[in-house]
Amino acid sequence: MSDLDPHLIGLLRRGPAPPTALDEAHRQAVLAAARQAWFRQRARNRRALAGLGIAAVLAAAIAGWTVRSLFEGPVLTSRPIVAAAEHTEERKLERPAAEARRQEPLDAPSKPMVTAVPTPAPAPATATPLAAKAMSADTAASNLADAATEMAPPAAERTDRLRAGAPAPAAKRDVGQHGRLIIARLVLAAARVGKLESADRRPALQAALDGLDGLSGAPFDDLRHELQAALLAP
Amino acid sequence: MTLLRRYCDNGDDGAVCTIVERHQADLLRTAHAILGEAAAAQDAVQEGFVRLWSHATAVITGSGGRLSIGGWLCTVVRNAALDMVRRRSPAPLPDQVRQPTPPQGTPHDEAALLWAAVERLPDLERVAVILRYRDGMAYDEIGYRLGKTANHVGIILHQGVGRLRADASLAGIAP
Repeated sequence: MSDLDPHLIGLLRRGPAPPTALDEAHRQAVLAAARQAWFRQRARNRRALAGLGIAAVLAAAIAGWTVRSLFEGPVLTSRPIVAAAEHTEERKLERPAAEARRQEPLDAPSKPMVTAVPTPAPAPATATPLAAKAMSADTAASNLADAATEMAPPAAERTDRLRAGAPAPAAKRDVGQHGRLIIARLVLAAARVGKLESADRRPALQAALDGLDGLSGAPFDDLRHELQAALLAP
Repeated sequence: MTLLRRYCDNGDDGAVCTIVERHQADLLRTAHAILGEAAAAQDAVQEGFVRLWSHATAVITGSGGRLSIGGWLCTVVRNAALDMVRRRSPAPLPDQVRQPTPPQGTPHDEAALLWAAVERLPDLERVAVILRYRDGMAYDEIGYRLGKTANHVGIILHQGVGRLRADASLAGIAP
């Protein structure tokens, strides 16, 4: 029913025939396109492979870092943190004494101060309160003398103690340069205004002078001269 | 598919040439049936091959490797040719019967009149008529090239033949 008339079919078959092959220009274009597409695909594959490799390396690094963090605690990775830690370590190595002093608790027992101070003058061997006590506003003159004496006990007494086998006094405190300076000034001031008793005056001045041994500089030299002058004064 | 795999793996020119030789005639016949011009058919087939090289990996892996190169190429070339037809004629509605246009010059023979009438058929009907009656293809072969079932091809052919019979210009030809 749907078939065309045979005469028309014959006419159609005598119509323009389709080409059976690509002409040379189209064929060369097809071959060139094939090569270009293959090279593009290969470049894409290589890029993908490189990306995969980079991703694998990153994943391995992250996994390693995570495992290390789990077993060894957090790892310092920030550059400023690491630099600060290294700087602190260097400072510790450079200044061990200062670092040790910094880490020492405030209520730690005090260290003995100067041990070998040649002092011919005798001094009372009273082990009494300290520089803090001497520096208080209502300091008694005797306390000042005690504080000055405490800084450096008389050499004769120390020698006697050593000969007798007695232990060295352990209650001496290192009051520092400023502490010794302040004590010496207080002793000098007390001696000048007559607050020191005559029996305590000379030993206290001598002890204050001894306490300045080893210290150099304008304030110490001036104070040393004033103490010597006070000692010579009646 | 083995040839295409060889092309993908090694860029084998021999595989490319073999694929072209194997499929070009069939593709050119389909494209020519749609476009009606040899040069345009060559362009459409070239475009089909270029797309094949660009999507070779997808063709190999597509549908679990069950795609055939011939079927894939046929679909691509048919769509390319139809696109070219649409670009060539601004408002071609698929099922719209083209208005009879007198061919250039006066056709002096029956064949020219007949081909002019075929050219006025809608795209699918024209292609189906040409593939069926010029190339002698079976319904399923036509359906393979048009992406239709054999029954659908039968319907399309029935409509196309009916239009040709009704064409007034063929009144003197048909007995």
